Amino acid sequence: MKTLVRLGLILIFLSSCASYMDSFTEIEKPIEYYTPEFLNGFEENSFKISIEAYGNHFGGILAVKKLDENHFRFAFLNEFGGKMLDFELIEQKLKLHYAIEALNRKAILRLLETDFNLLFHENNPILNAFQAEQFLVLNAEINQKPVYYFLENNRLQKTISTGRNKEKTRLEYRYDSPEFPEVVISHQNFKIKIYLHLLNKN
Amino acid sequence: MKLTLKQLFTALGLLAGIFVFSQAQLTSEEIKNFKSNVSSMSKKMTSLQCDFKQTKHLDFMENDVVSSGNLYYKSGSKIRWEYISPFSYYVIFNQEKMFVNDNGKKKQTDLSSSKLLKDLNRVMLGTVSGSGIFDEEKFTISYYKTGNDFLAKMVPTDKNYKKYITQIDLTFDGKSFHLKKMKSTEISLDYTLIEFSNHKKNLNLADEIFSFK
Repeated sequence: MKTLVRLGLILIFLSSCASYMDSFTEIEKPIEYYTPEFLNGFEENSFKISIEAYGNHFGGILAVKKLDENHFRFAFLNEFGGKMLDFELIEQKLKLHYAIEALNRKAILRLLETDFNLLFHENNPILNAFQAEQFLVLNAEINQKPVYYFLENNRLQKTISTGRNKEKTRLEYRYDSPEFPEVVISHQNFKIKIYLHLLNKN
Repeated sequence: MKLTLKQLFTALGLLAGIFVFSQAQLTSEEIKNFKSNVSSMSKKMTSLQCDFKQTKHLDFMENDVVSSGNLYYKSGSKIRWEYISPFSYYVIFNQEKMFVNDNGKKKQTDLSSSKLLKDLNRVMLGTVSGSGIFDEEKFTISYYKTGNDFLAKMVPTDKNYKKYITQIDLTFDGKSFHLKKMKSTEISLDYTLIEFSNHKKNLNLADEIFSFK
């Protein structure tokens, strides 16, 4: 009996140590740096943003401008045009310009910083490459954590950020617009989902 | 005819002067008349339907964020503020309740639950109907005649408003006295401009427009 329990514990330990990429087949890196194709030529755009957080729904408009490589500015507006948040991401660091009191919280700003770093990141050095089912998987780092870009026919289908070998954050893309896909950001550890939908140019 | 640089600047200066003087500040008698006209227009109005265009200017963006839609008002404090482009979103105020439909996501809230929502409702009612729009307790207001229209420049004195805005400019039609434009300028000098057009007053608006669905 004791031996069985020990064996069980060892199996649980081993499975928890299993790497996220165990089912992947390593291949030669096809590229050294990666930029999602929707960021190529990106200058500025406005998105409808919806946030589902613990049963609550928040909506508004997200205005995004590229200022330089890996340097973007964001403004989160409510539907009536009121500015709720205004910040920059410079080389993955958030610089806050303005936040209404209700949103000026470390946890909220940290979440936006890590999530938007995953979406708006260019020329990311590729560490490894894999084949996993129909996907070419590129492994890199964002927010000092492993990140996996899943590409199918050279088009990014999902981005997954992991921590302790487990999926933490998932970005999924649906290409309704040729310019920028619809994006859904979901988290494994908390019930917050962010939806981004490109608004037509005026 | 060739203009020297000096002549050009003199001409520009004169143009700027004309522009400044085209905003003549109202005398106290004219202010009284203007406010009385807005109030009388408001009292006679039982309903209003109009279009609006909202322009959000952010200094860091090259292009403004523009949205548009329809606005409905019916006496009894009923408002439907509906965005049609670039996405569907509407908010309805009716009987101390607020209903939001964000592209199918619906939410109903009691106005009594939040001072902010009560304020929002009051501001919207003021904007749409003209009633109580000149809040001299919370703003220092100066009044001007600009072309055929009237302009009220409202600078907040209330500390809660001062956190968000430096000035609200309201432009009223010089004949009908309804609100034509509302420009709200933030501390960063980014602004939101809402232009109202195609006003239709005192139509028989169906109650269904203001029902929560």
